[in-house]
Amino acid sequence: MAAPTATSFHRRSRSQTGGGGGGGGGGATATATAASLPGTRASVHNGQLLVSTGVPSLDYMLGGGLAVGTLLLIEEDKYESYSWMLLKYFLAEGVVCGHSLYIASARDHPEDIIQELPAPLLDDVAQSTLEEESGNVNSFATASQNSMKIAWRYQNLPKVQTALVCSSRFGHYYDVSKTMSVEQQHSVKCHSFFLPDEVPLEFDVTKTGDMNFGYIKLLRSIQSVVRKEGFDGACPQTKPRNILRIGIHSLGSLLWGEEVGLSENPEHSCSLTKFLYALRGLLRTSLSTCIITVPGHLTQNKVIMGRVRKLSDTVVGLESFNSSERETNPLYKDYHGLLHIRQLPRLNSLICDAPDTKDLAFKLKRKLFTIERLHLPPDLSDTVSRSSKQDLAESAKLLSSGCGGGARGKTHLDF
Amino acid sequence: MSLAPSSLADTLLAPSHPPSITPSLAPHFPAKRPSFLIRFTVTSPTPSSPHTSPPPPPTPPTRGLTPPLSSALCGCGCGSLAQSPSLPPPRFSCSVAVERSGTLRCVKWVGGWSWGSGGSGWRIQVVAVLDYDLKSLPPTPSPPRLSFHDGFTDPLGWEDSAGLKVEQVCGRELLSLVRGSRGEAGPPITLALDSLSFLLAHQRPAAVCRSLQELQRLAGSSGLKLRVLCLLHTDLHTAEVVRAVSHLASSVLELSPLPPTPAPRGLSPFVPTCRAHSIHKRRAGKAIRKVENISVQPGFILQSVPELTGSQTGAESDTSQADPAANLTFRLRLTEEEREARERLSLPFHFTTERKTRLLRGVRGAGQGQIYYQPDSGDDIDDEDPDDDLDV
Repeated sequence: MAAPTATSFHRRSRSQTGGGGGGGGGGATATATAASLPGTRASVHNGQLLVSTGVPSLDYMLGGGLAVGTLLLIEEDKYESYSWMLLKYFLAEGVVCGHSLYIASARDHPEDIIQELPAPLLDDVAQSTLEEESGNVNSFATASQNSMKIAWRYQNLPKVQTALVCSSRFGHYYDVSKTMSVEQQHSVKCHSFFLPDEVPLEFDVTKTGDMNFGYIKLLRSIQSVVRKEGFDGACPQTKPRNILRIGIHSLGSLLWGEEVGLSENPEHSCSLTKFLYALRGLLRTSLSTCIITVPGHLTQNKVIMGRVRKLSDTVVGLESFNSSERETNPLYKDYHGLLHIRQLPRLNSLICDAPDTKDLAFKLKRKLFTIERLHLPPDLSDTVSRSSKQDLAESAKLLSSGCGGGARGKTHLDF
Repeated sequence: MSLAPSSLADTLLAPSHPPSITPSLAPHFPAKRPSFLIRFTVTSPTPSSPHTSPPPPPTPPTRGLTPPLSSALCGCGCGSLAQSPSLPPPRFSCSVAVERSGTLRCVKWVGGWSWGSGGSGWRIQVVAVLDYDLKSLPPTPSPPRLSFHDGFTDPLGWEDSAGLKVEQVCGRELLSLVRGSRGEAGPPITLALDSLSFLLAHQRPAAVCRSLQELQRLAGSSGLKLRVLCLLHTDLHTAEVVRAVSHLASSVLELSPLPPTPAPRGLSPFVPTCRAHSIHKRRAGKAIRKVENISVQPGFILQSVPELTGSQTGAESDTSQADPAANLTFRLRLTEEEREARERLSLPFHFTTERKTRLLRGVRGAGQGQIYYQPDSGDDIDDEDPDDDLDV
């Protein structure tokens, strides 16, 4: 019979794309399309169809990737440099995988954003740099093994793995210093929404109905793209299917006409939440994923940010050291900022795939944006000491001041 | 210093005048992007500042009359600089514009702007001032590269005069105003808006920001190199508005007056008058932050004065870095030979490498005992680190 062989073939391909663990019964329709869609794979946890965010370590944090039909909210860092990078990685990953793009912005024209996308690295290049790094680590480990004299029993302890990498490769690495070639930029279909083009300046965006007019236009535009270009999951499509990646830059800033945080009782305080609610409903029934960056640090009102977070699926906050005093803290000297996972989606289940630690930091190198577990480096210098312990030691010495004043010096002593 | 502002402006315009703008601010101004927005923030000193009597409420300046001194200090609260009787009369009121590579500088005077354009080269800046703040007259023989648009006389269009109206501040109008009689591919233009506070009081913040963005977009698409420089009095707005507006600027310079301190001996006699926190957001990567003290010297030359924290930090480091082994009757350090000797010494329970590796691999030699221990519930296991009291 032809049908059983066809299903068994599907299963095999699913297990290939899924990297081993089959998803079980749950997302049968999702896995059926997984084989035919480029740049996607099924989640090993719940069979959900995933796409990469363009940052492999962020994929790992979010449980393998960004589920199709969900919304990732990024709370921008203060000077917007790293959230901007994440958005560009997401769009560049879409270009590499051949997905369709939808870019909405009120500040930069989407054409300019496309031209700024980072160039993808060939897989072996990224792999070699990674291997080189791990090789360095290994050589360091062997060197330290030889040099360990007194505490030699610690040699057998496993090296702390800070980098978060999936076992199977998914997503690409990008070179920030170069931009994508022009042919590659135009290889995918890109829809754009530039607020000044859509809503004339003379037209006050807040003076219509009960919702910001810019948001209404954006929703309608996304809806028409989803319906006309065949990303609608509800009705049967004849065309070959593809994924739509939606990137919305700095939603809720002044340029979108949003004044929620600015006055005590704004007229359209629910505009943003209404928009998110409607957008999420639209996403759920379509083959699309969405990343929205929001300048969350501008609104001090916690209620508003809480609502916005609740109306998104995944929420990730960035906090760069550049804007705070933490830049000079020796604990953070290897990193560029902290990553706060504020919310993870519970998709078709009661639990979510929570990461084992919440202390995460990111760093941006030329070829790598990585998210790592934040841990204390070994304290090798004699000037840096943990203050509480030092105080404890000091008070202990005060108590037993009779014995040995020579032991009081903490630094530069050989004995 | 006794020159009239107009003749001073002429002096500054002379090409022989050395460009001496705060040098460290200069290189971060983006050269490629045609336009960017600088927010100039003037904050009032803290009320606890010793010399500050609370500034009188800014009286609405009456047209045609000389404004009283308190409002002549542009109502930004920095009037306290002038109110100390021991100080000389105020020379400038805390609004300093610094431009790239010393091509242009302007210092806002009490009730007036002085413009200077020094240096040479291709960068010729044309400045259009939209003055909404105070009646500040341009220098009478108007400098050739400066055009001045009066927004003070009739801001709301009550008198049908030719002055600039508030509603005219939108992208298209501003662009035609700035461009004026110049051709398409003119020299780069700097537009100074004094001040954004007035606009923010009369329009919605979102509308103001969208207008400025529209202006930059139109200028960029028509090939005009335009920079927009806005002054904002932060004490006149809520913190949210200030944060939201400065979020959109590509560079932010925050000026705050310094309390007048006596010049330390051996250092430059110019007392810094103003502290500048500058933030330059780069398109990709990190933002650059800097803190500088700026003083205005005779001839309106801005000079960056280094931070005078050397004495304090030096004292701190002295106490923290004090060597406890300095004045001892015995020696606590090892010489090289002693150190080598110590390295060679084998400790009594020091294992050989071969034995160590054998233990680490888990291969136990014959005849060695092993302890198999099954933990049970009656165990009294101490969770505390036994080495906790060690000072390591």
